[in-house]
Formats: sequence, C-alpha cells, structure tokens
Amino acid sequence: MPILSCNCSCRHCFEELDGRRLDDTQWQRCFEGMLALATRSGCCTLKVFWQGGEILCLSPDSVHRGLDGAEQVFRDSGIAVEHYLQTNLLLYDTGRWKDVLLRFQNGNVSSSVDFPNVYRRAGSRSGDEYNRYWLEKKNIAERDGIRVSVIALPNSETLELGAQEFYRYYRDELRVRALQVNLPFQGNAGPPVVLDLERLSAFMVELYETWLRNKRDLYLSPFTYFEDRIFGAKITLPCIWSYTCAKGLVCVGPDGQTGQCDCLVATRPEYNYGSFLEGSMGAVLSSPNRNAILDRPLRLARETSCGECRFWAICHGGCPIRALAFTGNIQEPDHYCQVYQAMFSAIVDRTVTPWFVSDTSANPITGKQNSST
Amino acid sequence: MTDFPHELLVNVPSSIFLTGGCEVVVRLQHKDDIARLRAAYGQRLHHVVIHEKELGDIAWLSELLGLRVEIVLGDGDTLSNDAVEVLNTMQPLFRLDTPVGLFRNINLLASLGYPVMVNAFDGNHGMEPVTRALSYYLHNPLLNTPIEPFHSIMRHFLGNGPDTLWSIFGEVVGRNAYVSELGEISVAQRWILTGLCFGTLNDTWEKLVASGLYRRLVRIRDGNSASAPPCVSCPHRDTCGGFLRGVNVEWPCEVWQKIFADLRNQGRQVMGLTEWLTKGGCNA
Ligand code: SF4
Ligand code: SF4
Ligand code: SF4
Ligand code: SF4
Repeated sequence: MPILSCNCSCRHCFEELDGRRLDDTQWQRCFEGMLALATRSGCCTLKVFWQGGEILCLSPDSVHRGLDGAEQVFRDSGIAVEHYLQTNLLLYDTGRWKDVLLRFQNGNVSSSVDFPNVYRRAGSRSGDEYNRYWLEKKNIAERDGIRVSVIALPNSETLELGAQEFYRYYRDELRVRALQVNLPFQGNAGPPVVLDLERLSAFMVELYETWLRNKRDLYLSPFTYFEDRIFGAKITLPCIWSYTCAKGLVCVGPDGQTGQCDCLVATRPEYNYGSFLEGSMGAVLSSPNRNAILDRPLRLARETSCGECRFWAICHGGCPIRALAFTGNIQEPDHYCQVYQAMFSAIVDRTVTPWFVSDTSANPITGKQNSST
Repeated sequence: MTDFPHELLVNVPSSIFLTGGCEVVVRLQHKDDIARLRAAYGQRLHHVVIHEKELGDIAWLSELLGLRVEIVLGDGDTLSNDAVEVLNTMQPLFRLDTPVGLFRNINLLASLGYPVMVNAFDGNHGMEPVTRALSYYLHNPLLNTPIEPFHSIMRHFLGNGPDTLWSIFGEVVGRNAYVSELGEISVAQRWILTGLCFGTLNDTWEKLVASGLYRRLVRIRDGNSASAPPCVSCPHRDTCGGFLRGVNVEWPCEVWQKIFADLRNQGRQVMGLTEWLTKGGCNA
C-alpha cells in the first residue's frame, strides 16, 4: 500500500486517505524488507498486491521504479515475485499507463465497481456516471491488451434489485469475465454499511443459483473457490476463509508500517505489527497483534460456536476485520457467519453426490435428515 | 528380560529399554532425552507417543522432528498456534481418548489435515459423540484426512483395508505387544488394566506364548474361537472379529454394530458407484 491518496471519494471507503505515500527513493528498501520477511517465513513465491489509495495516483515512472526495484532485490534470492494490481481504473490512459499495467500479471488487473452504485464517487459524477466512466476506461484498457476483473460490494439497493439483475449487469453490461463479491464493513466516512443478514443470505444463495443456471459462465468468487475446494482441488481460499490470514499475508503501508491488511494498517494503527523500515523482521513476525490473529482460529474453535460448525474446515471463523468492525472484538466469529452458512449449505446441497447420503443420520454439512437411498 | 522376536511391535514406556530386534513404540515422558532415545533404538523406533500437555513445550516438541508422533489428546486446550506450526513439519496422528470436546477436536484437527483416531473403546464414550464423529466422517465433503477407525473399516468393506478391528487398533497377537510401566506384558493396555497379562519382562518369550491369554487370543485370531457367545452369529464378525468383547464379554457393542452397518451400507453404495463408473456410466 504505497499511497494513501485517491482520485475518488467513495462513501464506503475504509482507508485513511491522508495523502501519505512511499518516498520514491524507498522502493529498494521496501522490497529489501519484503525479501527479509519472505526469507524468514520460508516463502517460495511472494505475491505483491499493489493497492492504495489509488496506485495510478503515483506517477508511471515511480511504479516502474518500484517494479524494477523488486526485480533487482529478488533477482538471486530464489524467491519468485508476482505483482498484482488493484486500481479504480479511472485515471487510466494508454500513453501513461499501458506499459505499466502490462507488467502486472501479463496485464491482468483488478478493479472495483458496485451495482447499483450508491457509494462510489469521483468528482461530481453521480453513481451511474461513475460506472459509465469506469466502463469507458475498461474498454480502453482492454483494447490495450489488459484484462480487468472486478470486485463488487453489494449494498441495500443491490439486495432490492436481486441477484439475477446483478449478475446480468456485470456479465452483459460491464462484460466482466471474473467477478468477486465481497461483503462490506464500515467505512470511515458516511453511514456504516449494515446490511440485513437474512436478505443478504438470500441474495448470495440466489446469486449462486443464477450462476449455476447460466452454466457458470463467469469466474465468480467465492463460489468457484468453494466448489473447487469441495471437489478436492488444492486451491488457496480467499483470505477471509483461510485458516489464519496472518500466516501468509502482511500489509506494508506507505511509511513502512506493517499490519494484517489494507483494511487495518492506516485506519487502526493500534493493530499494527511495527515498522519494517525501522525495526527488525523478527519483531514484525512476533508482534502480539499478529499473534492474536494467528491464535484466533484455535480460540474460535474452542470457545465459540465455530468449533461445532459443520463448515469450520472451509470458513475458520471468517475474517478478523469483519469481526472487529461489527463487534469490536477480533476474537469473535465473522459478522457474516449467517450469510456464509447459507452460501455453504447451498453449495454443498447442490454439489455433494446423493450416494454419500446415509438413511439414518442427519447430514452434518447440510444439517438435514437424510432420506433413504 | 524378555527377548521379543523381530516381528513384534512392542509398545513400551521410555523408562524401559528393550534389547533385541523387535520394533518399538515408545511412550515418552516430558523432557525425555530424545537424542539418546534415537541413538538407543535407531531404526527399531517405529513411533513415539506423547500426551497433550507436552504440546506446551515447543522446544522439546521440536526435538521430535523426523519421528512419527502419536498424540493422545485430552480436551485439546494445550494446542497452541506455535504447536501447530511445529506439528505441521511432522506427520502427527491424534488419538482422541475422551468424549469431552470430541466433535470440536475432530473438526479442528481434521481441518488442519491431521489424521485422527477415535479411541472409543474405553467405555467412557456414550453413543452420541461417536455417532456424530461417524456422521462427520461419512458426510463432510470438506474432509480430506482419515478419521479412524471409520476409515479403515470402510477400506475393509471396499476390500483394501486391514482385516478386523484387532489390526486397526494394533492388537494382533504375535504382532503387537504392550509393556506396562511395571513390566507387565499383554497385547495392549486395556488388557493390562483389567489384569489380563501374558506375563512380565522377567519371563522368556516362550513362556509368554504358552500363557493362557496368549493361546486364547491366538484361537480368536485364527477364527477357532469367539470372544463372547454373541460373536458366533454376529453379522459383523468379519469386521470386528470379537474385538469389542475381547476384554469384557458383556461389553455393549450394539452402538458399534450400528456403526458397522452404516459403514457397510455406505461401502456398498461406493462399490455400486465404482462398478457403474467402470462399466462406462450412463453410456454403458
Ligand atoms: S474505495 Fe478505493 S477508489 Fe474509493 S476512495 Fe477508497 S481507495 Fe479510492
Ligand atoms: S483481516 Fe480479513 S480482509 Fe484482512 S487479510 Fe485478514 S481475512 Fe483478509
Ligand atoms: S460459518 Fe460461522 S460458525 Fe461456521 S466457522 Fe464460519 S463464522 Fe464460524
Ligand atoms: S460386534 Fe459385538 S457381537 Fe459382533 S463380533 Fe464384535 S464383539 Fe462380537
């Protein structure tokens, strides 16, 4: 997270956009820090997710210097580095950014669009204008050979419209091939985004069914991941459902501060792990705040309903920040537990073969009494 | 001291060193000198057994790296993230001896990818925790690690697993032996706890083999005798072999008969599916 400036002013933004940015002379040091961290953790492939703020608020030259710096630092390290980019895309233009974006995963980048657009704003544009402008930029980027996947946050109006309309919008109007649906939590500005969990559950299940009816013609996260996991593929689940996100993820802020992720580093410094430009890597890795997240799954399994949950092996209590944001306690199960259970049940009901249904006992996954086969 | 033959796998406390050529399973005490143990037994060391409380000593636990480790879990409270980190570098097997928190422990350990053995024959388990564990094994599509003994029983039904519970639980006379802290010898701990021994470490192997208990177990093993009268006509004798009523002829094995029936039923369905698939599925 090298920059905390953004060209947008979204009302649900959770970042502290105070203008801080990584000093352009610090790229080398920053990646040296990452190398030390990766080496200590025994990592073979380091995935660097560039996000802000807005990365395109940096200059193209600065991003090139960053990518070059990483290349130089990791050259003989034996650790492969993959760069990923998250951008709102609105500042994209071919002359300035094409070559830069093509350096990220062969031109695969991720962006964010909501439908309907209640919260995202750029200048004086309305929500609809924002989305139309985004689509223009996406079209330009795609003509330049860049592929754009999208993260969408449902809001209460999304739930009103329903999953079919949502699906149609992304697939047919935005012509997106890969969509990831994330569940929101409170931002810094504007009213907190609190959705009705019943309705959100129904929406997510309907979205899954819509996806099945459309023969899975989008790459739709999280459903793609869940199905792969159920069918035994060795996949990496999204961070929120990993055993503990603290094991493999760390976020570096513009001044070298580290913390669990972009959701925490700038806004909740009390949860940070320390600076890796100033302190030692050992101190970052053994930070009590990191240990609290590392210990979270064991605590949840022992002390909360998660331990008895039939979906524990795929959920692990969900996301710490989504627990913190709604309950004030990172050691609670994720606020969206009910929604996850509805999603997992729907997926298992439709994917688990009927041969494995006993006639005598309740299926612990679906919770239903099994019928005789 | 008894000279156990080479083909024996003998479960022994770390306080007793067994000479001879047999393989050993060593029940460790906290702070045992692991380097000395490795040096003493070398290739004869099959695996070690530790208890949950020892998971709290991360430095000592780390010394077990490279050994197969069986962990007897209590209520699971000592398991920490640091212990998990160390265990991830080993291939531990967890033995769950208590019904307290059984489901939570299975749920957690299986999600971490650790094989689990439900040691449900100590008389403490009511029906509910074990049947819930079976249900978890049969119906959880997220499971990718074996839950024993269900998994081995299922493999047995599918024709590629161990014969009976005797081998699943390592109580095959002539293959397994157990030495108590006092030097008493039997086929497994549960026999010693009820006073049923072959003899002691002061006896020769020939004398142990001639003991009444040893000869009785051989007859059961070879199918020439039943553990208890109900076993004679029991439909699950091919799976159980009288194991459940081995020590106590009155042992209430009905719960397990139900479990065998459920597993057999599932096994048949899997076999049917496999047959159907090998015949070419719906195009056949
Ligand atoms: S949500 Fe993203 S695009 Fe919107 S203001 Fe925040 S950083 Fe910028
Ligand atoms: S706190 Fe939540 S969003 Fe952040 S890395 Fe962990 S799981 Fe992911
Ligand atoms: S679905 Fe809910 S109860 Fe189950 S593991 Fe996730 S947060 Fe915990
Ligand atoms: S299930 Fe019971 S009756 Fe049947 S063989 Fe086993 S111990 Fe004997």
